[in-house]
Amino acid sequence: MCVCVSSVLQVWLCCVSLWPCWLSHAVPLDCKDETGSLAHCTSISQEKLLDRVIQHAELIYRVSEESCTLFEEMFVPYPLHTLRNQGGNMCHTKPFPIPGSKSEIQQISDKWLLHSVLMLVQSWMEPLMYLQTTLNRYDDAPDALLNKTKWVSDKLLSLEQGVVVLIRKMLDEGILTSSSIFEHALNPYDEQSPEMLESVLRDYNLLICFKKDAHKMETFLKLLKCRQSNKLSCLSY
Amino acid sequence: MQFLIMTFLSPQDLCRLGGTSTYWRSMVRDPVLWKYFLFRDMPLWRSVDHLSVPQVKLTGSAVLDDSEMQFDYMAEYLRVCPACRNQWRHQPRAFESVTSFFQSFVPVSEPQFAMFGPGLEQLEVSLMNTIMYSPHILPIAGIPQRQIDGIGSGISFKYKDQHRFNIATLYSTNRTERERARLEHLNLRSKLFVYEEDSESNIPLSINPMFNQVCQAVNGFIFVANAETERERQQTDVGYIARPLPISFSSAYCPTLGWEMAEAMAYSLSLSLLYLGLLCGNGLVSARGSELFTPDPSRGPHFTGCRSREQETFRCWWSTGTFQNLTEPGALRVFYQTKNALEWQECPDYTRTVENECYFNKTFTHIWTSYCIQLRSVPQNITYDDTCFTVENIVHPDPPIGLNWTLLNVSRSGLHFDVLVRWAPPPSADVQMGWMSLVYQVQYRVKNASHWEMLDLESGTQQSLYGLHTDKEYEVRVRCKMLAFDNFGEFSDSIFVHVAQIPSKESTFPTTLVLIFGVIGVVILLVLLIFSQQQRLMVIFLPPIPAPKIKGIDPELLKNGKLDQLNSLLSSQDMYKPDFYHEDPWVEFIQLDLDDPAEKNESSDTQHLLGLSRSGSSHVLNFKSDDDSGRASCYDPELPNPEDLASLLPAHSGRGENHPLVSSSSPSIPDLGIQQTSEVEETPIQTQPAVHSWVNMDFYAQVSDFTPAGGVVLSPGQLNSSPEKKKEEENEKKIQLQLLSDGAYTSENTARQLDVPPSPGPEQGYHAFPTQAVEGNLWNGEYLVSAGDSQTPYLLPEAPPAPTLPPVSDYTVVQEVDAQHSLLLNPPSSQPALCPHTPNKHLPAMPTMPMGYLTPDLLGNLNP
Repeated sequence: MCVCVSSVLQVWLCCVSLWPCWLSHAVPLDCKDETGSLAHCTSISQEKLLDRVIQHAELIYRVSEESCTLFEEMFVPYPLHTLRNQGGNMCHTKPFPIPGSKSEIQQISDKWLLHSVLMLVQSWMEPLMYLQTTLNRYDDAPDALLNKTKWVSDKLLSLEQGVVVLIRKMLDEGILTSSSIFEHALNPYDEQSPEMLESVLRDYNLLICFKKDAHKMETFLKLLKCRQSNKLSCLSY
Repeated sequence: MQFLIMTFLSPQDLCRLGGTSTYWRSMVRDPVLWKYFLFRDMPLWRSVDHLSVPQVKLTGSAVLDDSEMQFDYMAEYLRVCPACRNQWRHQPRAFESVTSFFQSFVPVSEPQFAMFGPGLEQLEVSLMNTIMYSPHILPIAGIPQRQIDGIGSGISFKYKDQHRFNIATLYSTNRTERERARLEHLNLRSKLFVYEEDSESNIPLSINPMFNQVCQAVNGFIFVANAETERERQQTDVGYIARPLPISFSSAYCPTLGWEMAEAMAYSLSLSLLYLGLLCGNGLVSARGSELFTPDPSRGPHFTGCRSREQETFRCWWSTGTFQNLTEPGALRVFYQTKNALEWQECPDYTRTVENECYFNKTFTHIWTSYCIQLRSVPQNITYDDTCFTVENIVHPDPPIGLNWTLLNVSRSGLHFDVLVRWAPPPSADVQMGWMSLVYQVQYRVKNASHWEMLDLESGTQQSLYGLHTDKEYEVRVRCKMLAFDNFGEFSDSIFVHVAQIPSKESTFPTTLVLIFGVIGVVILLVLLIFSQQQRLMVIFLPPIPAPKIKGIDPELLKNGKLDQLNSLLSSQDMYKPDFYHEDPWVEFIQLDLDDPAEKNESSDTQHLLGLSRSGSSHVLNFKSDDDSGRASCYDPELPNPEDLASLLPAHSGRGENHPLVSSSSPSIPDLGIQQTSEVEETPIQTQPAVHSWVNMDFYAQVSDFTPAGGVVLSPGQLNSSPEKKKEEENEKKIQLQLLSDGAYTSENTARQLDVPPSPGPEQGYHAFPTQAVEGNLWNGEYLVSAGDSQTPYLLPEAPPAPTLPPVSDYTVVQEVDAQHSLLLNPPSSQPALCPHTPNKHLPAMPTMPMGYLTPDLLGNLNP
């Protein structure tokens, strides 16, 4: 017991002595290791981290819109363009209880906001991978579209990382093990090769859904940022 | 058997079959098969592109001849068929998507279509009328503003309340002709095309050049075929029947078709008419003909739109359309359904103040949720219209506010300036919280210009405008939309930006500087030019004075002014005598002789005058000798005499008037003298009177001058101080007179001269020899050292003949001698023999001769 206490004391001393060093050095954004504790992540402020996450979300949102438009122009017949206005009918993330009105969202806690974002991000990992493969199957899919899809998949990963870190920092708690929720949502993406038009429409719908969810992520994160800045207008709950 | 089976396969399947093995590949490419497909499917295709108009002459027979066997019907089919055509389309690139995205914001002018074809003209009721009076198919939107030259504006139709397009008709002839043709079942040829002459076929060759202009103004053509007369192709049961286009009618005739993606549309009306058109407009590019003419519900009660300003609430509006019985409130009701709640619910709030509006407040507004709304008439249980949307897709944000600008800077030239435009987001939009992310678009234009310059989308609330002109006023406005959405809100109020041009130093300085530098540059250029082209310019501005071309004389001599040498040269080259005579030597001579008068001025005024006159005579004498020496060698024997005479004339006249040649005041004689001297080849007749006058004048002058002493004209009394010299002079005159008469070659002259001499007598002539000799020597000594030899012989030969021979003979002898010596001829042997001796005798006898020739003393010395 005595040894243990002394060791803890040593570690603490060590931490204190190295404090300025940590401040000056930009520690890579990797707070996942269990031993590091939260002290490692203080090197990047929570505010900046949130900013970065928002940046990511906004970029993803923009690119999702661009690829959606691109796909629409390339493959979707004109009469079906109205589908976009309808915002995707059967999005796989629909079962998630995500509020839609501003007043409702304002009443959601930070925790729920963050977890919603995380859920959305995670739920889109696989469908985007699928989208890449199916787009590759199109003979004349433009490179721009493929690149964008690839880029979005990559960014989604880093966004997930950022959100995880944020959750840890802001909420001081672990991640919800929510993967089970999505399992049933992913089953439409199977290996069958449908008819061309059907495939196009499904991919189109997928892109529309993704765009909508990207919008959600972006909005939630911005809302979160607003709350962090302690503005009265944002703290209505 | 295989073939038969293959005909039942779809072309797609055939292609797959061909991919299996080479055998099937070759089998599948059978042209007969593909021609069959082509004929079978072509009438069923809804659209034919301008790029995919079949190249085949459709014979209609399924049997192929040899030439057609070569034709690749498979490729043709794959090219033409709509399903395959997508592959041929160019793939839009990223920037194209962006441009088309922006294009959607630009208000596009209405596309215009020109309708033509037999179907238009062979109907009793005009097709245009039919269309116009069937609003359930296409509502009329009015008469458009845009006119096409020559064919008018057409009529504007509305499609789905959004797109307007115009249809103009192109008739081939006027109405009466059309009716006549219709009654008589004639086939009218459209004047749009140029046809083959003398052929009955109605296949046009090419388009009439007059209509090229129309082609450029029109976005597309609609070809109207008359299905009533073309039964073989008529399949009215089928909804969409396409009559193959005339082969010659393709997009090649219409330049606008070339680059636009043209969609061909084919549709039918209930009039069993076939339409086939090529649409290449912007707004209707993708609108299929089938949609165009499906019964449009917009004519009845319909939603006119749903909008949200701030993504928190939204409103929907509807119109009763043509159903006037549904105008009262409550007749039409709005129901909505969200995906969350599957049952239909009625509009939560019908706005009281605004007609036909449904308001969804914050409670009922959910984003990311699909709304479907319906317009119903509840009592009749009819749903007139329905539409679906999500709220974030119908957000049209309010315009930004507080637009203002600040001047960033003005360019150095004062011509351009940059401004920073700022604005505030619309107050209704919750931007701070992050509920809405707005992007702004700034537009500006020169005031009253038609074209707005658009800047890139800006997510901040300020943007810079660069390179505005100071002398123009700009109008700036801004609008916004949600990030990654399409719907822009209204434009903000415009602000006007104007920066007066500042006439500062900065603006004027450069121009003056430029001017100065320009002038300096030009000067430098000129100087350089002058230096580089000096020689040429010299030639241009100062043409070279023609150098004195004296044969055999070095021009350097002339330049250096070494006149002595020059004279010697000239005298040796006798042909240049006249020049020499006229110019330098003369002056030189005078100068040299100036000494003499000084010596002579001893006794009286008259003597002084005499001295002067003598000096004058001496000049002349010198002249004469000079001339003689020259003439002797260079001219014909006859000529020197008049020359001599002429040279003497001024001398004697000068004696009379004291100023022989320097002043030509004496009226006639000097002139004559000059004339004669200058004109060597003067006619004898002219010289003759001169001689007379001179003789008269001379005597007269002598009298006037010297009579106080002598009284008699030729008496020795004249020779006051130096009688001998006078004698000499008189002798001289006699001789000269003789010479003169000789020169005239007239019998009269000789006679007269013979008459004149009586008083002087031949002795005087003899006396004259020494003078001449003296003169010659003097002349020789003074001027021509080299010519001296030639001169002295001349004197001596003259001497002996003079006393003995009559003047004529005397003259001739002289001439001969002259000629001999100068030309080195040897006529009589005796005379040349004499020549060398006599000068030698004389010369030593006259040591002071050069100087004292004119003085009486000298003369006295000589005479003995």
